[in-house]
Amino acid sequence: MWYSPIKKLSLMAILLVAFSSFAYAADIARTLRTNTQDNNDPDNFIEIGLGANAFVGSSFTDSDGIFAGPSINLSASYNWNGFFIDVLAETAEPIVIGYNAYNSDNWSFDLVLGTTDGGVSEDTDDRFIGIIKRQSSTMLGLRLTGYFGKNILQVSLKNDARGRSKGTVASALLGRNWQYRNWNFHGLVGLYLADAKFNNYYYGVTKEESAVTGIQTFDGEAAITFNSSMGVTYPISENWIYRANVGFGSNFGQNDSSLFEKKRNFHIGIHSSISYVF
Amino acid sequence: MILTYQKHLASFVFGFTAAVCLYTSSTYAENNSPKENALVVTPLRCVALRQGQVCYQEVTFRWHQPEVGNYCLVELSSSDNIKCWSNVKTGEVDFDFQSDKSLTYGIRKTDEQTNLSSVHITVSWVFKSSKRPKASWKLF
Repeated sequence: MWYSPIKKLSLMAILLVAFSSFAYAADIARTLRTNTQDNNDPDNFIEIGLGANAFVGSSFTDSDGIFAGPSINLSASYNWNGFFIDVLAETAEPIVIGYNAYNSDNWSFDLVLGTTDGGVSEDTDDRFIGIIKRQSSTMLGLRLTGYFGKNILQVSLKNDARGRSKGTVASALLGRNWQYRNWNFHGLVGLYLADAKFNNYYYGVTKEESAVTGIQTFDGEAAITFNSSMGVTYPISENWIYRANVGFGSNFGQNDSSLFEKKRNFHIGIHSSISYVF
Repeated sequence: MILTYQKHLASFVFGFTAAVCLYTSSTYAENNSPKENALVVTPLRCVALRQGQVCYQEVTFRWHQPEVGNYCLVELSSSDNIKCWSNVKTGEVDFDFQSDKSLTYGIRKTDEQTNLSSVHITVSWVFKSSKRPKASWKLF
């Protein structure tokens, strides 16, 4: 199989983004993986690591929808006086800026602002030459998190504040962690709802675009997707951690889009990495 | 090409995981024989993922005293005996350390309170954790 340099770069970019943060995981994944409970979050940190990934799912560029390769893991979190910024910290958006407005023993309420990854563009694949670039959205919203022992429940509602997609997304996540000796296991299930505007912006194909690219027209509709993740984190030393993860989810609704080169109803990915924590 | 790549990657992921598992189950087989009037423990440190979490570590205590006698290995904050020996001047015991804080252990003569020698096992962590302020609306 032959790949152009642009395709290769696009593939690597997708792998880096998709796996470095396990983007289809959730905003509570970091809390679960560090085995925090009773509404305690880890203090400020920067994490850099190397890992290996394999993924089977839908793809804009690959006819098989099968990817495997190394990844660079980078994540960071900084908290100050109720304000926080999470970068590639296993959240739905790569960068989340927020403010913790309310906090009790069991509940936490945040105002959040996050930027999504962009969608397809001419650089994604030769098939998309002539297509209008899908830019990142700036999602502004609310996030409510409940802590019940080792269980965490989170619901969120966000709207595209910049108005590029004018879309709205909502999510409901439920997670739990377990500790067996120094091994920290976590499980997470989530439902994500993206409205028709959001899905149409990223997955729709207009008549004009269809005329230029030859890709069939498509109108995006509201869709609910399911995501889940199970993993383990082990502290090798005070600065090094080992992680392994398996993620599974559905693509119903979104994968009907004619933008996809390979359409699969479900996706599964595995990830293993070692990271240095500053 | 991708399939070949995946084959190598699967081997790498498996090897990577196996290496970590082997590392974590290693017995720290350092032969630290104690000198006269000494108590040593290996390893000296237990690392948990986050602050406040119970840390687990298989450790080995070794001790040596100049005189034959009855001795006990004691956890000093609780004065709990870990193990006692009779009519010996050297001893060794494997112990499953489980604690969320650093602890000090000492060798004492049976039924005496004086520590002949002591050693400290440090509990450390990767992620520092702190309580957020509670029950307050902070809307600017």
